Amino acid sequence: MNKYFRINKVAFALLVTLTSCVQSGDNESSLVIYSGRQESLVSEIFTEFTNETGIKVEVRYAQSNELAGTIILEGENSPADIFYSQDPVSLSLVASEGLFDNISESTLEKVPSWAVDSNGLWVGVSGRSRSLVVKSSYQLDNGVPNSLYDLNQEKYRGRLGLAPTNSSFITMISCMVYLDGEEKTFEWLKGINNLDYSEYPKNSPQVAAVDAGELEIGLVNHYYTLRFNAENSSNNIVNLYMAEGCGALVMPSGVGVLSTSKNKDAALKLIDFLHSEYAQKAFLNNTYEFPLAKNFDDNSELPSLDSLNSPKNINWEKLSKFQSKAIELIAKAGF
Amino acid sequence: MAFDNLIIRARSVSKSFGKEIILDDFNLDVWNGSIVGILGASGSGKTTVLRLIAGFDRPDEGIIEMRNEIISSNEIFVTPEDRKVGMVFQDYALFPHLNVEKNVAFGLSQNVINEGRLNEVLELCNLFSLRLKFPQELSGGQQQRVALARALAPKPEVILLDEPFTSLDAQMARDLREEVVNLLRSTETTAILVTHDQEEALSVCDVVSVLENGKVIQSATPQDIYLKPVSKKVANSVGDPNILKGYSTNGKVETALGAFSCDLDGALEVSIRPECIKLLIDEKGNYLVKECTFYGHDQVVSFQNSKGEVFRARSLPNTLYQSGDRVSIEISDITIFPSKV
Amino acid sequence: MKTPKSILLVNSSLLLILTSPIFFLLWRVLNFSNIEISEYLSWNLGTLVFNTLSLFVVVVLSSTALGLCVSILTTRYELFGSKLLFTLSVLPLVIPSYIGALTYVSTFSSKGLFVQFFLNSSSNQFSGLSGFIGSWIVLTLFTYPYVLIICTSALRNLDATVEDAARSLGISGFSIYSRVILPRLKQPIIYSGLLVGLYVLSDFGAVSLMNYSTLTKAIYSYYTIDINGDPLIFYSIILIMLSLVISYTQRGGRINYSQKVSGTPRVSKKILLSLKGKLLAYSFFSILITFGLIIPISVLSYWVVKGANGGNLISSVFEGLFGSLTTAVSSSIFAMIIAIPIVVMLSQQNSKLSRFFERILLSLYGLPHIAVGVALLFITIKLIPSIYQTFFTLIFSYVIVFLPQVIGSGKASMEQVKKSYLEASSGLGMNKLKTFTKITFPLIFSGISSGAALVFLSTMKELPQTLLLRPTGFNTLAIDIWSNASEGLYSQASFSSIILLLVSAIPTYILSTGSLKN
Repeated sequence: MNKYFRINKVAFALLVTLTSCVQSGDNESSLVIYSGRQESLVSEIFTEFTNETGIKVEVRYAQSNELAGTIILEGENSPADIFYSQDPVSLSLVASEGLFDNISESTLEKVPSWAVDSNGLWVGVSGRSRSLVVKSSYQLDNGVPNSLYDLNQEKYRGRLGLAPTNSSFITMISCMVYLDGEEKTFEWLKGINNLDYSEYPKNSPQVAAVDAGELEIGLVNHYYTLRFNAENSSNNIVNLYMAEGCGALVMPSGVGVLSTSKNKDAALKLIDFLHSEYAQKAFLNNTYEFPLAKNFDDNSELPSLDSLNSPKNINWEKLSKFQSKAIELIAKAGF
Repeated sequence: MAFDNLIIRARSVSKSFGKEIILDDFNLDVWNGSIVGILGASGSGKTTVLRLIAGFDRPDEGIIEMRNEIISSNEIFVTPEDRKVGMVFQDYALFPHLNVEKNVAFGLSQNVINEGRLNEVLELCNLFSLRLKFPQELSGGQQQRVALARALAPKPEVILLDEPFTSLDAQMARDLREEVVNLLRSTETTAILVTHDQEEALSVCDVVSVLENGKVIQSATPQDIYLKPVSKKVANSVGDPNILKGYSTNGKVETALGAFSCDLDGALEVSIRPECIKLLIDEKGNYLVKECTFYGHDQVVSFQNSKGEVFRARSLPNTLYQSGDRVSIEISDITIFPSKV
Repeated sequence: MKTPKSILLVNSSLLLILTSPIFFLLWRVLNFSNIEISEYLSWNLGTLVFNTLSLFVVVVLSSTALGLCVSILTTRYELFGSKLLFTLSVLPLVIPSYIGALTYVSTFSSKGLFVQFFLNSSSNQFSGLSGFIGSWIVLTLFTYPYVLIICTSALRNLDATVEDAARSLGISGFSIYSRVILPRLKQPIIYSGLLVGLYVLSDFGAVSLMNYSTLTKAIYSYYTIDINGDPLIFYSIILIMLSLVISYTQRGGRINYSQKVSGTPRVSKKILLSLKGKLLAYSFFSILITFGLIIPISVLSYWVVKGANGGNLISSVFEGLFGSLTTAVSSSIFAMIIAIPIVVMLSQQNSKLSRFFERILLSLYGLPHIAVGVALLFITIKLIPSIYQTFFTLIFSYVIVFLPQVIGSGKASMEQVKKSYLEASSGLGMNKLKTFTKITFPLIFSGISSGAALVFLSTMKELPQTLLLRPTGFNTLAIDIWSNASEGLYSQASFSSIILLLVSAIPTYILSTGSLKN
């Protein structure tokens, strides 16, 4: 009988110890990063940052739009110091809630003007383009769409892949609503939805599927294709860049500092690090993104930014206002 | 037998559950070293008496004392764990997760165990060889012994037994009864035993209290209860008497089985126990044998008078009575009560 | 014995806290204006509900049928090795639905193993196992053991004398089942079938991987893309309502815990099978065990071996393992502690109040985890930010949905604590506290600890609540598996899966031998 009580006491003590152990990671000195970028893509950069500066980081990996929503929901109670997003809309949404601090002029000037927030509340880190991923053996006379609207044709039935919940996709749709209007966008969405598309939760599965021959055409960000090839030491898949419209959108990934952060110095150091030669080189060579803060000899795999036909002068803040409409249309269209 | 100390005294105890009155002005005296039986039908309140004495329930009215100290009254209530009362439950309530030894030792402190009390009790109740077994592995009789040992071990002032032999078959009950009585006597333990079984009450107890309608209607030795019941109800509870109505005038009462002298006047009831009626085969007899049930050690013969009223007589097995035999009767003993309206 | 006021107070506050997620969601929904509600209705709600319910119906039917077949075959028919067959048929329970889905998705996709081994090429034509069919198959395979276990224990307790009597009256074959056996199994069948149904309603991992649009998947989508929007709350409350309806119905068929069989029911002699019958039976079991056990385990092993080149596998798993173990241990201990006053109260009193308590607590059982996660997320962010994203909140969320398991088994053992035991103990000089520690607690401990083992197992497998509520940087095996699987990183996912299965094997073994004994 006493044995049972003793066991219970031990168990309780264990529980309390465990709980406090797990909690103790909550150091003030840790930098809390909400990262919309995948762990496999950026964790090495964070590790190097810690090595160089001694600042510990705690990272929450999730989709950018999810994190944006979470930060907005958290409001002034947000534990995050930095929001590192895969797409500019998520950043703008957080910015328009007044949750970011202003970034200094000198930092903003490190990157091209199209890659910053018009109010200076976030700054771009690396660039990516929307692209179509196909097998390298893809016959060009099977169709190289000029724009997204070309995809809405019977001949593409069963050949397309999409990740409708992915933030880059949603940003692309927001762009369409912004530039081309609600009606046209909805029509396109409904059309695509009826073409027996394959759905994927994220970009990387699409790329793998194309390589495997499961999927013919995927709608992704350009660097997933190049990275896949590098990882698998193969050359089976290539990017097709569209000639116009939102299907050719070039977007920055970017960072903002939460105004409620208690670690602003550390946060700013991180931003500097992301713009440093080390990080920018890593973005170019490891993830095949367009470095924004530095110029390097072009990686032969990547087209030059100038050669791409991204819609010009996009005001990301304005575009972000269309995101909820974009989501609504996506859901209404049946995705 | 030493009857010097009054261990338990209950005075004017009443207890109701809701609208139902269970005990009404109940009185009981239990002397040191005696075995007191409470005899009553099911639902007569016998178990309630035990629960009140043990402290599991509280009386509505009345006082219960132990060795002249109040344990239950309107102002005072001593909790069960502080009363030195041992109880053997009807279902034995042996703790299933403890073996025999641990069950028996449950109410003992380690010091007392160390002094040898545990082994003493185990030996006394013939349980030493079973001490490591668990209750589920024991027979009914063995379980009962464990329950008794457990209650006895802390040397309580009084042991309460709630229909302890009811769930056993007749032979086992008889054997066990004898064992238990010997045990109680040899340890000079005061006990209160509650039962509906007449045989049990009469054979085991020093004093029997007959409980009816929440009251004790007679408290006496088994012999007195049996031979000199104070009322028809008592008589009915300890035997199977023939109750005859009669009216007494001039010191004589006429009944269906004859006339008897008596001191009382007026409407009376005469109780004649079957074993007090002797039947003689007599062609000129006034009574006819109706039926004869043979029990081996005796037989019960039902006979009727000319009016067709049926009575019972017990006799030894030697004579054979057959239905239709004419008999005459000889009556050796009667008890007379005033007739209650 | 009346419940002391202190226990009543503790239990009432516990009850309020445990049910707070539901009330919170209700409160939010009630704040919607009518216009907003009709707008959402046009947003595919009908389709989602239809999808969810149709999956519900087919899985319940198929798993009930499957579980019953195995149950009857192993208890009533003479089959060599039926004990082994029974154990093997129960084992798929160990495999969480998302791991099962993982193996089937990775096998039957066109690059997958099936195609590789059997068709010798990757084929564009092979559409793969996904969507409704895929979800149906996977959910059936990994939930039918619930039906199997519950119905077998009921079957074993059925006195076979009735069946013998029926046979002597000339009823034979199929009629024995329809007229004699199945009617008496109605309660356990309904109970276990609805148990499966609740699992289906709540399932998130499998339908996500299979890409089938149910309410849970939609709720998660809204969580990722529109967390501040109202559809998230709205769909959550609808899902909760559905599950409350089901679990309320289920309680009509609830197994009476205190139904003790007096004496040992006579087990009927097992029926002999013809050769043809035996062949059929063994083929049935071969197929079942292949799909339920052999394929998942082989596929997982294959992926692990294939990915064993990357030494990353092993190190990456430690973090998840640590997270899984700490959460599982903490939640089972926490649940045990909370359960004690509740169980004590529930079995001492049979008043209206205690029955009301019980009904509410048991209704927590079927609550869809994702909805609970959503509710707690909002509650912590908005109302109690200090516990937002903390380990404590995570554990608490587990306790809400898993507590009924402890209470059920704790109560069953509490009913063995007879009133006379407690009185005997106090008559022997023990006060209330000593009686509790020496008599009550040891007797209920076995029940409570087996309930705790259940909680351990369930927490190890849990996915959606963990996704939504975990502290930053905190990982469990379940999360690793799911996120790797959704990115197509099958080797990592499989390795974590195998570790998860191994660690949960121990309590499952304990539980299944317990149920076999019963």
